[in-house]
Amino acid sequence: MSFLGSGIRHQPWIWQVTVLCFVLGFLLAGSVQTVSGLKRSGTSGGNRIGGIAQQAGAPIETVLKQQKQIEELLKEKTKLENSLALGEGPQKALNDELQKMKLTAGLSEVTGNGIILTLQDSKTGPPSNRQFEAEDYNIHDVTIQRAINELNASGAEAISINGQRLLSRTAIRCVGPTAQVNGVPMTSPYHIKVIGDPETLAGGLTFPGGFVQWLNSYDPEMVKIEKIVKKDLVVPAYSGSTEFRYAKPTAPASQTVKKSPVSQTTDKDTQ
Amino acid sequence: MSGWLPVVGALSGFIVGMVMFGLFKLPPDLTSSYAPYLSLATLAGLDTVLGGVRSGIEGRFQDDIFVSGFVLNTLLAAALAFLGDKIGVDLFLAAVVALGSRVFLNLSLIRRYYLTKAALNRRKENENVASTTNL
Repeated sequence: MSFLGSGIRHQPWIWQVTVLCFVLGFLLAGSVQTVSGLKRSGTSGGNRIGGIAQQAGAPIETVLKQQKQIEELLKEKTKLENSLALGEGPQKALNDELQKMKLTAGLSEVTGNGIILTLQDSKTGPPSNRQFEAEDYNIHDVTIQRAINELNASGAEAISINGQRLLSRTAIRCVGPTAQVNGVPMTSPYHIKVIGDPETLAGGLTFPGGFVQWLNSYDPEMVKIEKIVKKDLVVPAYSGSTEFRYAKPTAPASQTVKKSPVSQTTDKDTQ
Repeated sequence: MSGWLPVVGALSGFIVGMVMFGLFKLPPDLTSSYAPYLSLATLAGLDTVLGGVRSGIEGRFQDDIFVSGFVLNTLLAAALAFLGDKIGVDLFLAAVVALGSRVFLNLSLIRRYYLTKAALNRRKENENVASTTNL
Protein backbone atom coordinates (compact mmCIF):
# COMPACT_ATOMS: atom_id res chain seq x y z
CA MET A 1 0.00 0.00 0.00
CA SER A 2 1.37 3.38 -0.87
CA PHE A 3 1.78 6.14 1.64
CA LEU A 4 -0.60 8.67 0.18
CA GLY A 5 -3.15 6.29 -1.26
CA SER A 6 -3.67 5.21 -4.83
CA GLY A 7 -6.25 7.82 -5.67
CA ILE A 8 -3.75 10.66 -5.77
CA ARG A 9 -0.91 8.79 -7.34
CA HIS A 10 -0.37 10.42 -10.69
CA GLN A 11 -1.00 13.99 -9.74
CA PRO A 12 1.66 16.65 -10.42
CA TRP A 13 1.72 18.10 -6.94
CA ILE A 14 3.43 15.05 -5.53
CA TRP A 15 6.57 15.95 -7.47
CA GLN A 16 6.63 19.50 -6.18
CA VAL A 17 6.14 18.31 -2.62
CA THR A 18 9.01 15.89 -3.22
CA VAL A 19 11.34 18.65 -4.38
CA LEU A 20 10.43 20.76 -1.35
CA CYS A 21 10.89 17.77 0.91
CA PHE A 22 14.41 17.54 -0.48
CA VAL A 23 15.02 21.19 0.43
CA LEU A 24 13.46 20.55 3.84
CA GLY A 25 15.78 17.63 4.50
CA PHE A 26 18.72 19.75 3.43
CA LEU A 27 17.77 22.53 5.85
CA LEU A 28 17.18 19.98 8.59
CA ALA A 29 20.69 18.62 8.10
CA GLY A 30 22.07 22.16 8.37
CA SER A 31 20.15 22.75 11.60
CA VAL A 32 21.29 19.46 13.07
CA GLN A 33 24.89 20.21 12.19
CA THR A 34 24.90 23.70 13.71
CA VAL A 35 23.10 22.64 16.87
CA SER A 36 25.36 19.63 17.40
CA GLY A 37 28.31 21.94 16.76
CA LEU A 38 26.98 24.18 19.53
CA LYS A 39 26.58 21.25 21.91
CA ARG A 40 30.14 20.12 21.19
CA SER A 41 31.44 23.53 22.17
CA GLY A 42 29.56 23.36 25.47
CA THR A 43 26.76 25.82 24.78
CA SER A 44 23.18 24.71 24.42
CA GLY A 45 21.25 25.32 21.24
CA GLY A 46 18.50 27.21 23.02
CA ASN A 47 20.88 29.70 24.52
CA ARG A 48 21.20 32.66 22.20
CA ILE A 49 24.24 34.01 24.07
CA GLY A 50 25.96 30.72 23.25
CA GLY A 51 27.80 32.22 20.32
CA ILE A 52 29.75 34.59 22.50
CA ALA A 53 30.71 31.86 24.96
CA GLN A 54 31.81 29.70 22.06
CA GLN A 55 34.06 32.40 20.72
CA ALA A 56 35.60 32.89 24.17
CA GLY A 57 36.45 29.21 24.50
CA ALA A 58 39.24 28.95 21.98
CA PRO A 59 41.51 31.81 23.20
CA ILE A 60 41.65 30.32 26.73
CA GLU A 61 43.15 27.13 25.33
CA THR A 62 45.55 29.18 23.23
CA VAL A 63 46.62 31.20 26.25
CA LEU A 64 47.27 28.08 28.33
CA LYS A 65 49.32 26.56 25.51
CA GLN A 66 51.34 29.72 25.05
CA GLN A 67 51.97 29.96 28.79
CA LYS A 68 53.51 26.49 28.69
CA GLN A 69 55.68 27.61 25.81
CA ILE A 70 56.79 30.71 27.71
CA GLU A 71 57.70 28.57 30.71
CA GLU A 72 59.82 26.26 28.57
CA LEU A 73 61.48 29.15 26.75
CA LEU A 74 62.32 30.85 30.04
CA LYS A 75 63.97 27.68 31.33
CA GLU A 76 65.87 27.32 28.07
CA LYS A 77 67.00 30.94 28.34
CA THR A 78 68.37 30.43 31.85
CA LYS A 79 70.26 27.37 30.63
CA LEU A 80 71.78 29.34 27.77
CA GLU A 81 72.70 32.23 30.05
CA ASN A 82 74.50 29.85 32.37
CA SER A 83 76.38 28.16 29.54
CA LEU A 84 77.46 31.51 28.14
CA ALA A 85 79.14 32.41 31.40
CA LEU A 86 81.45 29.46 31.84
CA GLY A 87 84.52 29.85 34.00
CA GLU A 88 85.56 33.02 35.81
CA GLY A 89 85.67 36.64 34.79
CA PRO A 90 83.29 39.46 33.95
CA GLN A 91 80.86 37.23 32.08
CA LYS A 92 80.32 35.05 35.13
CA ALA A 93 79.91 38.06 37.36
CA LEU A 94 77.34 39.50 35.01
CA ASN A 95 75.43 36.24 34.81
CA ASP A 96 75.46 35.80 38.58
CA GLU A 97 73.99 39.26 38.91
CA LEU A 98 71.42 38.47 36.24
CA GLN A 99 70.31 35.26 37.96
CA LYS A 100 70.04 37.10 41.28
CA MET A 101 67.84 39.70 39.65
CA LYS A 102 65.64 37.05 38.07
CA LEU A 103 65.27 35.41 41.47
CA THR A 104 64.22 38.73 42.96
CA ALA A 105 61.80 39.40 40.14
CA GLY A 106 60.19 35.96 40.37
CA LEU A 107 61.28 34.90 36.89
CA SER A 108 63.05 31.73 38.02
CA GLU A 109 61.67 28.59 39.63
CA VAL A 110 62.79 28.31 43.24
CA THR A 111 62.84 25.54 45.82
CA GLY A 112 63.45 25.31 49.54
CA ASN A 113 61.74 25.07 52.92
CA GLY A 114 58.43 26.70 53.53
CA ILE A 115 54.74 26.13 54.09
CA ILE A 116 51.72 25.27 52.01
CA LEU A 117 48.74 27.30 53.15
CA THR A 118 45.43 25.94 51.90
CA LEU A 119 42.38 28.18 51.98
CA GLN A 120 38.99 26.87 50.96
CA ASP A 121 35.36 27.85 51.20
CA SER A 122 33.53 26.42 54.21
CA LYS A 123 31.55 23.33 53.27
CA THR A 124 29.12 23.64 56.15
CA GLY A 125 28.35 27.35 56.03
CA PRO A 126 27.07 29.38 58.95
CA PRO A 127 24.62 27.99 61.53
CA SER A 128 21.01 28.44 60.50
CA ASN A 129 20.43 31.38 62.82
CA ARG A 130 23.39 33.29 61.37
CA GLN A 131 22.68 33.05 57.63
CA PHE A 132 23.50 36.74 57.21
CA GLU A 133 27.16 35.79 57.75
CA ALA A 134 27.20 33.42 54.77
CA GLU A 135 29.65 35.61 52.85
CA ASP A 136 32.21 35.31 55.67
CA TYR A 137 32.33 31.55 55.13
CA ASN A 138 33.79 31.94 51.65
CA ILE A 139 37.36 32.79 50.72
CA HIS A 140 37.46 36.19 49.04
CA ASP A 141 40.19 38.20 47.38
CA VAL A 142 40.64 40.17 50.59
CA THR A 143 41.10 36.94 52.56
CA ILE A 144 43.96 35.92 50.28
CA GLN A 145 45.40 39.44 50.31
CA ARG A 146 45.43 39.42 54.09
CA ALA A 147 47.23 36.08 54.18
CA ILE A 148 49.81 37.27 51.61
CA ASN A 149 50.39 40.43 53.62
CA GLU A 150 51.07 38.43 56.81
CA LEU A 151 53.33 36.02 54.92
CA ASN A 152 55.39 38.84 53.41
CA ALA A 153 55.72 40.36 56.86
CA SER A 154 57.02 37.00 58.09
CA GLY A 155 59.86 36.88 55.58
CA ALA A 156 58.33 35.00 52.66
CA GLU A 157 60.79 34.87 49.77
CA ALA A 158 58.63 33.39 47.04
CA ILE A 159 54.88 32.87 46.91
CA SER A 160 52.62 31.17 44.39
CA ILE A 161 48.84 30.77 44.46
CA ASN A 162 47.60 27.71 42.58
CA GLY A 163 50.70 27.80 40.42
CA GLN A 164 50.68 31.56 39.79
CA ARG A 165 53.88 33.22 41.03
CA LEU A 166 53.34 36.47 42.87
CA LEU A 167 55.28 39.45 41.52
CA SER A 168 55.46 43.05 42.56
CA ARG A 169 52.83 43.75 39.90
CA THR A 170 50.47 40.91 40.84
CA ALA A 171 46.83 41.78 41.49
CA ILE A 172 44.55 39.50 43.53
CA ARG A 173 40.95 40.38 42.96
CA CYS A 174 37.47 38.87 42.75
CA VAL A 175 35.90 38.77 39.31
CA GLY A 176 32.43 37.31 39.58
CA PRO A 177 32.54 33.95 41.35
CA THR A 178 36.29 33.48 40.86
CA ALA A 179 39.42 35.12 42.16
CA GLN A 180 41.99 36.23 39.63
CA VAL A 181 45.71 36.12 40.30
CA ASN A 182 47.89 37.58 37.53
CA GLY A 183 44.66 37.73 35.52
CA VAL A 184 44.23 33.94 35.74
CA PRO A 185 40.87 32.93 37.21
CA MET A 186 40.86 30.33 39.98
CA THR A 187 38.45 29.02 42.59
CA SER A 188 38.58 27.49 46.06
CA PRO A 189 40.64 25.67 47.28
CA TYR A 190 43.60 28.02 47.04
CA HIS A 191 46.98 26.34 47.59
CA ILE A 192 49.45 29.04 48.56
CA LYS A 193 53.06 27.83 48.42
CA VAL A 194 55.46 30.00 50.39
CA ILE A 195 59.22 29.67 50.65
CA GLY A 196 60.78 30.97 53.84
CA ASP A 197 61.43 29.78 57.37
CA PRO A 198 58.48 27.41 58.07
CA GLU A 199 58.25 28.24 61.77
CA THR A 200 58.29 32.00 61.22
CA LEU A 201 55.77 31.81 58.39
CA ALA A 202 53.39 29.61 60.38
CA GLY A 203 53.87 31.79 63.45
CA GLY A 204 52.98 34.91 61.46
CA LEU A 205 49.63 33.37 60.62
CA THR A 206 48.74 31.67 63.90
CA PHE A 207 49.43 34.32 66.52
CA PRO A 208 46.47 35.11 68.82
CA GLY A 209 44.00 37.33 67.02
CA GLY A 210 45.78 36.65 63.76
CA PHE A 211 44.75 35.33 60.38
CA VAL A 212 44.17 31.67 61.28
CA GLN A 213 42.26 32.49 64.45
CA TRP A 214 40.07 34.87 62.48
CA LEU A 215 39.09 32.16 59.97
CA ASN A 216 38.79 29.51 62.70
CA SER A 217 36.13 31.64 64.36
CA TYR A 218 33.96 30.82 61.34
CA ASP A 219 35.00 27.29 60.29
CA PRO A 220 38.35 25.58 61.16
CA GLU A 221 38.09 23.64 57.88
CA MET A 222 38.70 26.81 55.88
CA VAL A 223 42.42 27.06 56.61
CA LYS A 224 45.17 24.45 56.69
CA ILE A 225 48.92 24.91 57.14
CA GLU A 226 51.43 22.29 56.07
CA LYS A 227 55.09 22.85 56.98
CA ILE A 228 57.68 21.66 54.45
CA VAL A 229 61.12 21.13 56.03
CA LYS A 230 62.75 18.81 53.48
CA LYS A 231 63.65 21.66 51.11
CA ASP A 232 61.48 20.15 48.42
CA LEU A 233 58.83 22.84 48.12
CA VAL A 234 58.89 24.19 44.55
CA VAL A 235 57.47 27.60 43.65
CA PRO A 236 57.15 28.02 39.86
CA ALA A 237 58.47 30.94 37.86
CA TYR A 238 56.21 33.66 36.56
CA SER A 239 55.21 32.89 32.98
CA GLY A 240 53.18 35.93 31.98
CA SER A 241 54.09 39.12 30.23
CA THR A 242 56.98 41.14 31.68
CA GLU A 243 56.69 43.97 29.21
CA PHE A 244 57.01 47.51 30.51
CA ARG A 245 55.27 50.03 28.28
CA TYR A 246 55.56 53.22 30.32
CA ALA A 247 58.31 52.82 32.90
CA LYS A 248 61.81 53.49 31.61
CA PRO A 249 64.94 53.39 33.76
CA THR A 250 66.29 56.87 34.43
CA ALA A 251 69.56 57.57 32.61
CA PRO A 252 72.36 55.76 34.40
CA ALA A 253 75.44 57.69 35.54
CA SER A 254 77.70 55.75 33.21
CA GLN A 255 76.59 55.40 29.60
CA THR A 256 78.60 52.21 29.16
CA VAL A 257 76.11 50.24 31.23
CA LYS A 258 73.88 48.40 28.81
CA LYS A 259 70.33 47.82 29.79
CA SER A 260 69.11 44.27 29.53
CA PRO A 261 65.42 43.41 29.18
CA VAL A 262 65.44 41.65 32.54
CA SER A 263 66.88 44.57 34.46
CA GLN A 264 63.92 46.65 33.30
CA THR A 265 61.55 44.35 35.06
CA THR A 266 63.34 44.28 38.37
CA ASP A 267 63.16 47.82 39.54
CA LYS A 268 61.98 46.82 42.97
CA ASP A 269 62.02 43.93 45.33
CA THR A 270 59.41 41.30 44.53
CA GLN A 271 58.58 40.11 47.96
CA MET B 1 4.68 3.90 -5.29
CA SER B 2 4.84 7.63 -5.99
CA GLY B 3 3.29 8.23 -2.57
CA TRP B 4 6.64 7.56 -0.96
CA LEU B 5 8.41 10.16 -3.08
CA PRO B 6 8.23 13.00 -0.53
CA VAL B 7 9.75 10.77 2.12
CA VAL B 8 12.52 9.68 -0.26
CA GLY B 9 13.10 13.32 -1.17
CA ALA B 10 13.38 14.40 2.46
CA LEU B 11 15.74 11.56 3.29
CA SER B 12 18.02 12.18 0.31
CA GLY B 13 18.05 15.92 1.07
CA PHE B 14 19.00 15.14 4.66
CA ILE B 15 21.82 12.85 3.57
CA VAL B 16 23.15 15.34 1.01
CA GLY B 17 23.02 18.09 3.64
CA MET B 18 24.74 15.94 6.26
CA VAL B 19 27.52 15.06 3.82
CA MET B 20 27.92 18.65 2.71
CA PHE B 21 27.82 20.31 6.14
CA GLY B 22 29.36 17.49 8.13
CA LEU B 23 32.07 15.98 5.96
CA PHE B 24 33.09 18.79 3.65
CA LYS B 25 32.35 21.68 6.06
CA LEU B 26 30.66 23.79 3.39
CA PRO B 27 30.23 26.64 4.07
CA PRO B 28 33.13 26.61 6.55
CA ASP B 29 31.67 29.29 8.81
CA LEU B 30 28.30 27.67 9.49
CA THR B 31 28.38 28.87 13.07
CA SER B 32 26.02 29.39 15.93
CA SER B 33 24.86 32.76 14.64
CA TYR B 34 22.97 31.03 11.83
CA ALA B 35 21.41 28.35 14.03
CA PRO B 36 18.12 30.17 14.78
CA TYR B 37 17.66 31.16 11.12
CA LEU B 38 18.27 27.65 9.86
CA SER B 39 15.90 26.20 12.43
CA LEU B 40 13.23 28.68 11.38
CA ALA B 41 13.76 27.88 7.71
CA THR B 42 13.37 24.20 8.54
CA LEU B 43 10.14 24.89 10.38
CA ALA B 44 8.81 27.00 7.49
CA GLY B 45 9.71 24.20 5.07
CA LEU B 46 7.89 21.64 7.22
CA ASP B 47 4.85 23.90 7.35
CA THR B 48 4.82 24.37 3.58
CA VAL B 49 5.24 20.67 2.82
CA LEU B 50 2.41 19.67 5.14
CA GLY B 51 0.27 22.48 3.73
CA GLY B 52 1.00 21.21 0.23
CA VAL B 53 0.05 17.65 1.10
CA ARG B 54 -3.13 18.86 2.72
CA SER B 55 -4.19 21.01 -0.25
CA GLY B 56 -3.26 18.18 -2.61
CA ILE B 57 -5.53 15.84 -0.68
CA GLU B 58 -8.29 18.43 -0.71
CA GLY B 59 -7.80 18.78 -4.47
CA ARG B 60 -6.96 22.48 -4.53
CA PHE B 61 -3.22 22.36 -4.90
CA GLN B 62 -1.69 25.37 -6.71
CA ASP B 63 2.00 25.30 -7.45
CA ASP B 64 2.49 29.09 -7.37
CA ILE B 65 0.95 29.35 -3.91
CA PHE B 66 3.01 26.38 -2.77
CA VAL B 67 6.42 27.69 -3.91
CA SER B 68 5.83 31.35 -3.06
CA GLY B 69 4.51 30.33 0.35
CA PHE B 70 7.69 28.41 1.09
CA VAL B 71 10.04 31.20 -0.05
CA LEU B 72 8.15 34.04 1.59
CA ASN B 73 7.48 32.23 4.87
CA THR B 74 11.15 31.35 5.17
CA LEU B 75 12.31 34.87 4.39
CA LEU B 76 9.76 36.47 6.72
CA ALA B 77 10.66 34.14 9.57
CA ALA B 78 14.37 34.85 9.10
CA ALA B 79 13.67 38.58 8.88
CA LEU B 80 11.67 38.40 12.11
CA ALA B 81 14.49 36.59 13.87
CA PHE B 82 16.98 39.15 12.58
CA LEU B 83 14.82 42.08 13.66
CA GLY B 84 14.28 40.43 17.04
CA ASP B 85 18.04 40.11 17.50
CA LYS B 86 18.50 43.77 16.67
CA ILE B 87 15.83 45.14 19.02
CA GLY B 88 16.35 42.62 21.80
CA VAL B 89 12.91 40.97 21.63
CA ASP B 90 12.71 37.28 20.78
CA LEU B 91 10.49 37.93 17.76
CA PHE B 92 11.46 34.59 16.25
CA LEU B 93 9.19 33.04 18.88
CA ALA B 94 6.25 34.59 17.01
CA ALA B 95 7.29 32.76 13.85
CA VAL B 96 7.85 29.54 15.78
CA VAL B 97 4.41 29.71 17.37
CA ALA B 98 2.59 30.65 14.16
CA LEU B 99 4.34 28.07 11.98
CA GLY B 100 4.20 25.41 14.69
CA SER B 101 0.45 25.76 15.17
CA ARG B 102 -0.05 25.57 11.39
CA VAL B 103 2.04 22.42 11.21
CA PHE B 104 -0.17 20.79 13.82
CA LEU B 105 -3.35 22.01 12.11
CA ASN B 106 -2.29 20.65 8.73
CA LEU B 107 -1.16 17.39 10.27
CA SER B 108 -4.48 16.93 12.02
CA LEU B 109 -6.40 17.57 8.78
CA ILE B 110 -4.27 15.04 6.89
CA ARG B 111 -4.79 12.54 9.68
CA ARG B 112 -8.55 13.05 9.61
CA TYR B 113 -8.61 12.52 5.84
CA TYR B 114 -6.91 9.15 6.08
CA LEU B 115 -8.87 8.04 9.13
CA THR B 116 -12.13 8.86 7.36
CA LYS B 117 -10.95 7.06 4.24
CA ALA B 118 -9.97 3.99 6.26
CA ALA B 119 -13.32 3.99 8.00
CA LEU B 120 -15.15 4.25 4.64
CA ASN B 121 -13.11 1.36 3.21
CA ARG B 122 -13.90 -0.80 6.21
CA ARG B 123 -17.61 -0.08 5.92
CA LYS B 124 -17.50 -0.88 2.21
CA GLU B 125 -15.75 -4.19 2.91
CA ASN B 126 -18.30 -5.06 5.57
CA GLU B 127 -21.08 -4.33 3.09
CA ASN B 128 -19.33 -6.47 0.48
CA VAL B 129 -18.95 -9.33 2.97
CA ALA B 130 -22.54 -8.91 4.01
CA SER B 131 -23.72 -8.95 0.42
CA THR B 132 -21.64 -12.04 -0.44
CA THR B 133 -22.94 -13.94 2.60
CA ASN B 134 -26.47 -13.01 1.61
CA LEU B 135 -25.95 -14.70 -1.72
